[in-house]
Amino acid sequence: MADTPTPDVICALQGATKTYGEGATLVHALHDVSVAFEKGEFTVISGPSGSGKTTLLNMVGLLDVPTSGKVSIVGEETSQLKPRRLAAIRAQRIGFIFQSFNLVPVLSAVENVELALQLSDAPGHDRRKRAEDALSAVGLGQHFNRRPNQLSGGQQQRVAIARALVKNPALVIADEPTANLDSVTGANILDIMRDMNEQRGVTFLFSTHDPMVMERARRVVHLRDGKVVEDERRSGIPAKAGG
Amino acid sequence: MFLRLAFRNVTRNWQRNILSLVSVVAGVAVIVLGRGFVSGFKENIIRAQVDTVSGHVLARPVDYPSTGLQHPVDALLTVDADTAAWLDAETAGWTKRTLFSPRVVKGPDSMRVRAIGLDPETDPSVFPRTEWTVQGCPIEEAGRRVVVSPGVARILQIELGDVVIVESRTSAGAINALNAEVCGITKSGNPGQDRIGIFAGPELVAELLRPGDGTSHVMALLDRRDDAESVAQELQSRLGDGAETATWHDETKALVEAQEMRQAMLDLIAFVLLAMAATGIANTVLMAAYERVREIGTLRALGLTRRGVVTLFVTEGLVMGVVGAVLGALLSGAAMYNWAVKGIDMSPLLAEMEKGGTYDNIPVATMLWVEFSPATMLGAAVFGVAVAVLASIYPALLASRMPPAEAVRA
Repeated sequence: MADTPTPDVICALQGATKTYGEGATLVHALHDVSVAFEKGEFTVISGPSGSGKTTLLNMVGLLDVPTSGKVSIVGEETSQLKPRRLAAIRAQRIGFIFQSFNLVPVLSAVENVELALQLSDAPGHDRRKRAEDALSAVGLGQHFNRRPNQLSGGQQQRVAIARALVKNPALVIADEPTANLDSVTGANILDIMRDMNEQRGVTFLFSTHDPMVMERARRVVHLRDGKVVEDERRSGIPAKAGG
Repeated sequence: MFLRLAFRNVTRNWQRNILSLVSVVAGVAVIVLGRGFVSGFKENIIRAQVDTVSGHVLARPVDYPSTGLQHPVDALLTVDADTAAWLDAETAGWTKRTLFSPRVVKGPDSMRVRAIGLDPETDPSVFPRTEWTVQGCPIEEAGRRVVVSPGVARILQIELGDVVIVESRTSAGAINALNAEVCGITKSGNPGQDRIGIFAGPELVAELLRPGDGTSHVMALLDRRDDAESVAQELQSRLGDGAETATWHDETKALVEAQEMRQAMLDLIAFVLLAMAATGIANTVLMAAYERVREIGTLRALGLTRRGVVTLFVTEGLVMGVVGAVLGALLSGAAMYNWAVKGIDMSPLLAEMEKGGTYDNIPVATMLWVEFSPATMLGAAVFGVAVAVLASIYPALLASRMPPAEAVRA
């Protein structure tokens, strides 16, 4: 990896190390990891439990900072940034999709999506319309005003996808997005994300054990014991699940 | 969106939040009710004192005893023509009363009483009769007869038309005793007078005490009670060293201070209630924070700053505070407005207290007009909101310190 990120690099880790504890209890969750993710990639981070997948996603998502090393998002080196600036980058550049959907239960579907726009400081006058368009794009045009507890798991995850995408982020981080869904629903969710990737060029970074997701990934970064052990780039991946 | 989010979060767990809300409502209501009632009691005491005992300005012989049934008549005041003219010009009304302490005897029974000899023509200009209940002849028609209070009538088993003996010393110090017919039984609204008092007609006073032009008290009513101090000073200078003057303020000072103590106690109760409310709100917000760790993590992932998390949870405290404070202020304010307009009839309570002997000679008007004060309502509501906001700051800070990477997967 080059020291200076190329224009297509959305996110780059350079010698990123994350340790917990000290002395005899020191644990390296990530150990000198250098990896870059380019615009439009559909990448899976794979590895056994404890390999550092979640820690890597936390670094890339700016939810955590490395003990040493650098993390750059769209060319901006972040390890020295103040929490307020990190929050602003998360709000404007990064979308999150979680295993447990993580919708705000007291807000309707459209309000959940709108909240992401509000936090990204998007102009107020068209926030509602943008939120509705994002929900319509994931097939939830009829469910704007339903609360999360009135939606199925698959529908909730679609709201989460709409929430992640509505602000046109540089990067979407999806942490086990299909783990709480049945296989058919999971495939549908995956199709939506692939469509967004192919049609809009949205960059996705997954952490998953789901073989269905692994099958669709164009790039798989294998981690073990906090280190990148393989960076596999694939070709001829079907556009649609089962396709 | 924050406000909407906060409001919905508060209503999401309304069973738990309602306890905190009730505490805020109660705290704010106690402030409004307590202050309204105490202000009402203060005014009630002042009004009763002015209307039944002293007027706005009072003059009496120097070193006049202030307690018990001591009403000496050996050093009386005289009001010269100049002073009378000045009083006519400067006051809304003035009168002379002579207080003395005769023994009233009926058959084998007797008791010492507080007797008031008054000027039937001028007395109503200072002491209104609105709260008086008269059985038999009014005091203005007593002449050489007496009008007794219900208390004296009860103790001595006096009925209208009975003849009693009234024993007293004259202004010269001689013992005197006269037969006098009881022509009326009058309740004046002054508890001390109604318990052990009699009114003596002017001719009886003249014959019994032989005071000449002397009188023990001069009382004046003013157009503005705030002028009492200057009028008292002028009256003092006119009556000379043998007299001392006092204002309604001097005469009610001790009682008003007692009410202010009561006010402080009520404020303390309100403080305790609001402290309970603060604890409840802090606990509610803290529980909400720990129940919503993942939600906090999600909001942080979406770009909410730590300050934003604090704002969100403090807003929830604010919503609870505003709802509770507005409810408390409106409910208590409505009650105070009703009582301020219609008044509260204290007669049943006073009758009970009189029976039980739980109050002595403190003049209390039978109608209590509480104070309706929008400023107090607003102040209490603002205080309630401030308590709620302050109480939610610490749990909000705790919520904001949750590491987002852990919180989001909690």
